[in-house]
Amino acid sequence: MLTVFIRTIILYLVSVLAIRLMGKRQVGQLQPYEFVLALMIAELAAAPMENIGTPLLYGIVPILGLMILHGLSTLLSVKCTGFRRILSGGPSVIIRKGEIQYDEMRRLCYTTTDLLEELRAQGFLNAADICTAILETNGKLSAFPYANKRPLTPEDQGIKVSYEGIPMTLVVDGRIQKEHLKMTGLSQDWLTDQLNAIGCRDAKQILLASLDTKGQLLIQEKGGKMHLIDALEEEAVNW
Amino acid sequence: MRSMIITVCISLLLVIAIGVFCGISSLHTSQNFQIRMEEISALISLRRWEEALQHARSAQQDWEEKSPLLSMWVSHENVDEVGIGLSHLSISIQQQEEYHALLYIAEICESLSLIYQKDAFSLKNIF
Repeated sequence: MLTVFIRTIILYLVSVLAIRLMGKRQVGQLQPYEFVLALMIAELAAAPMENIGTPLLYGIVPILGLMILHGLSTLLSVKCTGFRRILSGGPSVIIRKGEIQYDEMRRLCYTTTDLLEELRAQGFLNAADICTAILETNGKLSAFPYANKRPLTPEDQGIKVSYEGIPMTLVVDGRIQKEHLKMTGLSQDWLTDQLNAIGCRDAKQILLASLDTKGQLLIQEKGGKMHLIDALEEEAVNW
Repeated sequence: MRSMIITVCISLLLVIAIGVFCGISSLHTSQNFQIRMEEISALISLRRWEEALQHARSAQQDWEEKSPLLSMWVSHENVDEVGIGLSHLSISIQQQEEYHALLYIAEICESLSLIYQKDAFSLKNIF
C-alpha cells in the first residue's frame, strides 16, 4: 500500500510538471496543481469503481495521497513565494501601455487569436482600447482599458454613494434563513410582521425574501407576486 | 491554515498506518501459509496422505476465513488464485497424485509470495 502512495506522489509531481510545461492555455480557471488534482482524482475514483476485482483502498489511498500533496502544496505556497512561483508560475503582462508584448506571447505560446477572444469575452471589441492586459496564473486574462475608455464611475462625476454590502436572504424556498436573520440583528417576529404587512401568513408561501444594505426588503411570493418594502432605515443596517 | 495542517497530518498518519498494517498483515499471512505448504509437501513426500489431506483442508478453510479481509488491500485475482490452488491441492492429495500435489504446492507458494511481493515497499514496485 505504501508503494501505491509513493507512486501517487511520483505521478502527481510528473503531472504537475507536465501541466506547467504545457503552459497557461491548457489550464483554464484552475491553478496548474489544482488542475492536475482534478484530473487525477476523477481517474482514481473511476478505476476501482468500474473494476470490482480491485480493492477500494487502491482508489482511496492515492486520493488521500493527493489530498496530502495538495495540502502541503497550498501551505508551502502561502508560506513561500518562491515555491508558489515554481508551482503556479507568475502573471505575465501581455499588453503594456497599449503595446502587445509579442515576445512574451511567443514565450507563453499565446496567440493573437487567443488574446482577441479573451478581450471580446470581457466586452472589449477593440484591442486599441486596452492599456494593460495580464495573463494570470490560472490562465485567465485580466484586461484594463485606458482611463478615457472605461465606464464613467460615480467618483468621476463626484457623486457620493452610500455603502452597498451583501443583501441578506431571509427566506429561500419557504425556509427562514435563521443564520442570516441573526447576522442582520433582526428577530423572526420582525420578519413575520413584514410578511403579515403584505398579507402573507406563512413564510412557506415565500419564494425569496432578501434585505439589502439600503434597508429595502424584496419579497417574491411563490404565486409570483413581488413586493419591495422600505423595511429598515439605512442607519439601522449593521452588516 | 490550522485546519489544513491538521487535515494533512491526519491523512498522512492514516496513509502510513494503512500501509504498514497492510504490509505486515500480507507478509504474516503469506509466510504462515508458505510454512503450512512446506509441511504438507513433507507429508506428501512421506506418503502420509491422510495427514496431508487434513492439513490441506484446514489450510483451505483458514484461507477462506482470511480472504475477505485480505481482499480489502490485495487484488481479488491474487486471493482467488491461492483459494483455487488449495482446492486443487486437496483433490490431488485425495487422489494420491504426488506429482500434481507438489506442482499445486509450488503454484500456491508462488501465488502467496506474490501477494506480499506485489505490494512490498520496494524500488522494483515503485518504478
